[in-house]
Amino acid sequence: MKRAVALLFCAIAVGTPVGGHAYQHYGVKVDNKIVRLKWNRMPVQYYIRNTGVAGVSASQLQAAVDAAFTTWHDVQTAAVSAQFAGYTTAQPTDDDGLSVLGFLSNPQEPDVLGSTNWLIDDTTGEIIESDIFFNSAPTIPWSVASSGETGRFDLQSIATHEIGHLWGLGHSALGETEQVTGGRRVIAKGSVMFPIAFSPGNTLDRVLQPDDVAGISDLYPAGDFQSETGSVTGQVTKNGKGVFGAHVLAFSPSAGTLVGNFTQDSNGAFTISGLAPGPVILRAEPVDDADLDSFFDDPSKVDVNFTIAYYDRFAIVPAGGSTPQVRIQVTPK
Amino acid sequence: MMQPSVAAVVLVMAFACPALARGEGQQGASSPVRREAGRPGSFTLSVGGELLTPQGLGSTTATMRSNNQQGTTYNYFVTAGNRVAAPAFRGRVGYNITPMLTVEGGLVVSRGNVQGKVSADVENAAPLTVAERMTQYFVDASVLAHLRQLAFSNGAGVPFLEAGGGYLRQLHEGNLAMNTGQIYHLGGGVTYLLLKRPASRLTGIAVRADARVYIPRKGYSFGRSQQLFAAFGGSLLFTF
Repeated sequence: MKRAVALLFCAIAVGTPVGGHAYQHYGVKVDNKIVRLKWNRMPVQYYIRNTGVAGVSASQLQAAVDAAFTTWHDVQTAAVSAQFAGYTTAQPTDDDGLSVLGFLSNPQEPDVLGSTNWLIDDTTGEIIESDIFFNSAPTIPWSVASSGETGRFDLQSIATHEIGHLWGLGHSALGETEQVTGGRRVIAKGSVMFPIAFSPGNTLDRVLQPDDVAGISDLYPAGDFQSETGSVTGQVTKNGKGVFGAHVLAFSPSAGTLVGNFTQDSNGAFTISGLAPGPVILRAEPVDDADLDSFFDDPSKVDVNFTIAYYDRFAIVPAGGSTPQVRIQVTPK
Repeated sequence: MMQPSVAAVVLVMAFACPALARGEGQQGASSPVRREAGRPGSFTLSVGGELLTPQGLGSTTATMRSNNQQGTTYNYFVTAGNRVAAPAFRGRVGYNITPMLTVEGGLVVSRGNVQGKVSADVENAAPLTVAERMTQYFVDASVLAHLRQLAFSNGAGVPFLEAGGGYLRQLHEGNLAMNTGQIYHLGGGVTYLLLKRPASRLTGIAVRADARVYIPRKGYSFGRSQQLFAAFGGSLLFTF
């Protein structure tokens, strides 16, 4: 039996609250167990909707999407690949067995730059189809200029983010924002999968960050990834009880990399995978730089009432394994 | 707790028992011997300790990309690492090529705390210091040049210079992760002969006090900027 599941969103920079999960992965419940959403067959065949927008033709869209797929494909520790299957008139929202990427106007959501949805086999968690639409509402100008274009959103950057969702990645919380009129503005990002885009003209999200690489490699491991990286497992607690929805990041001082994830249950348990072996510094914080529904299905369960805390020891990440359980204690605000 | 005892060993080895000292030049000249400390073809075995001075391990800043086309770095927090002073065990085997030159190979093992200072958190979290315990192994080879022209106490004390390098292996707390690299050293010291037994298989017993500057390459660091460090050691030296 097949069914369509959730929409995911990537939103724009200036004043945009939007939605989805961290480098964490999406999952579906199969026989009372959570199974990760992922593709079981590569390469993924994709189609481009044969419609352009002002300044971007369908063929230019295809070139930008191809470059974005290549960015993910080039991650040496992940086995993902895609193949352009042709142009189509199908909508990037149809459940037709075709994975279609294309422009579609969604003026009701002028803050949403793009969105990804999947058709999955809910007996296995296998993704069968994934469509991505890029909002062609007149309020959203697009660009495929190689160095970006002032005042226009870089299509390749947004495609790189949405294709991360297509593979099964959720949102990352590695970013800092500020409140501006009408929403939030990105100050800085540590992940392409952060739910709010850089400002128009910015092309930085064409390049994956360590958080993105860890996420895709954990989902589709290749080469020596599993034997040469490790993970941190632990728990965030407040007054002796688990904290749900805390954002935990691991920083490797030797590698200089930041990778994050969330506590995923009421016990405050978390796992951060894809880390370079060696000591890492752990930092737990409440999610406060994007709307909670960008990360969690049920934001009402998320605890944001605590102060930032570091783990008081180095956590030592072993190659091919996990740290002993660490416990980060936070205090109420 | 360990450091004072190592320091004491160094001092004792370096300066104790001067009355037992026998000048190599004195005895070597006056008695027909089959073996002689320092003679070409003889071997040495030494065991002792070192005190490794603190070592800066550099600093790294956790950064993200700012929202501008240049992607200028946005500092999240700053970390700075150091290894605190640590005692070490040292064992070495040497071969005297000439009275002036000895080649040695050996092992240094130390355990000490590595600290990481976290500061300048972007959201003003309080600074803190995190730590772990690291075990280090240096497996190295050295060339020693004995400066016999500077010998003192009737030849019992002989200064030397040394240089060498080798393999560095660092095991993080719980032996859960490892770094490897190279480590080079320059140094010098004094060998002081305590006892000479030319007719026996063990031809001499001496103490050695020395100082080294270690220059690590690769190995564990915060960003690739670890610093050199010094070591002060003493050992008991047996000549065969």
